[in-house]
Amino acid sequence: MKAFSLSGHAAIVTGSSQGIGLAIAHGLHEAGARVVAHGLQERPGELPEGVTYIPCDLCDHGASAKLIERAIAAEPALDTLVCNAGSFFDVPFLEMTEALWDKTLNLNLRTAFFTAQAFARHLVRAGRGGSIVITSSTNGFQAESDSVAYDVSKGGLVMLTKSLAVSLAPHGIRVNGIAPGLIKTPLTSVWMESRANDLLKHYEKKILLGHVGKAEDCAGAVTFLCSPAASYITGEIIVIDGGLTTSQIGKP
Amino acid sequence: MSTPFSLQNRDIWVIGAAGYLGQEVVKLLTALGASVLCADLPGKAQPAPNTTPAGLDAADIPALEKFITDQIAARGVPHGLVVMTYAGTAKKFDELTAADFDHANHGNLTATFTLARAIGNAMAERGSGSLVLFSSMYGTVSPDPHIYESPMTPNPVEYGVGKAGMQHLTRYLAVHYGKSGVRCNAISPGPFPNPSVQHDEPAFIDRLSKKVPLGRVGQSPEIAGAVAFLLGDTSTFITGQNLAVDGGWTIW
Repeated sequence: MKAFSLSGHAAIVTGSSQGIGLAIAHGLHEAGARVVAHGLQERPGELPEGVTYIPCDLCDHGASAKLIERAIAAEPALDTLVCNAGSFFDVPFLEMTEALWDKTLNLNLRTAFFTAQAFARHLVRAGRGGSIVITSSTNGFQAESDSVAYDVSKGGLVMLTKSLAVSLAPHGIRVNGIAPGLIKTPLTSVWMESRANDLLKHYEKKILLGHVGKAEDCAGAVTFLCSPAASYITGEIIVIDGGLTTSQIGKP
Repeated sequence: MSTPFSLQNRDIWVIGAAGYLGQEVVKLLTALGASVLCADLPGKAQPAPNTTPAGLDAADIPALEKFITDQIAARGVPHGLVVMTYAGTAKKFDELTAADFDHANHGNLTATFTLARAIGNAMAERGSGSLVLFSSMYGTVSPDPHIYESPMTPNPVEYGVGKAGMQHLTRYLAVHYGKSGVRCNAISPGPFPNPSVQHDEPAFIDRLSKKVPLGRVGQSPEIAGAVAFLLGDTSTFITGQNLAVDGGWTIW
């Protein structure tokens, strides 16, 4: 179906060696886009053939601009960016250190800003429109205890999405986001295992659709937002949480 | 062509299907393989492939209830319901009577509630379904009276009240039906003036466009993708959400 097709488009997905990013890379590829994947590690086996993979640490000085440069070299038609790289380094608030705060904010927020900037500079120079999708989180608008730095970084990404949408609209670049709730990924598995008996059960109870999400549940929303079917959507954040935040999370 | 966004073998009811936006929604749903029951005021819905036109005044509650019973008997419980009807007056704020206000709320809120509950209950019994309600940017923000200078009529208070109610009805239904596998989401269109207004009122269109980060009003095909996305299998972990298709109207 043409409306949801990404044929003729080329996308880079940061943080796509595993979890939600990997599912997004698969989804965009399936919709017909040329795809550049990125991660810290060596190329994962699950990436489809034909997908370029660029490993780098986005927190290194100037890494965002270099990654975009290499992505353009691999896919000259690059017009789609998914800022998905992110992680969780929080410890209980009273024990939080400057180093862990910086690590969280640098990876989750700062690299998204500068990757989007390098990407947008390229499109504006080339006189082409495009689309950006930013992965934030339900933690961007509903707080969780002992996730202060993570919550702040994701709240920042929520506003980065809207603010970039306003700044880039005159250049024909749409900017939208997804806000996943509890999704089973290598990152959240650790979180879930340590809370298996109480907090996880509470979350499962609060998720209206009755189950923790899969990474694949995030792929369709990103494909939709990048596609012509979403040509009048900008500054929007699609929450993918099975209803977890609709009647608030609270505590057990 | 097979796509994750396919609606093959799905039966969708669109209430308000003959309107300017409704027609485009029906077009995309049938193109994605759905069969569509097109309900609108008697005589409005025209025959088209894979659609069944039907006359319905949704504000007439006994007639609405009979319509639902008859149609479920004839075609079964639908996989999706899209409610695009609205009621309003063209009256100025100080001329609006209590009876006018009641009349609009009845057409907007009571009719949608009756429809969504009856279909929602039937879907819940089956264990699956997707409800899509139409709100508006004016369910989120208030109209700027300057945009509606003469000869345009002001966007009336009862319209936004009803559309704001739609956003909450969406959240409530999502919670109520979540455990039964029935999802409920809303769409909030931005400015989508019909073609004759676009042609006849260039100054009005200019005032509207200036309020939109994307710098233009929406064209009817641009609403359809969001509806198809929320009805289909790529949004199965999304419920209780309001998706703005407004060019960024509500983000600044």
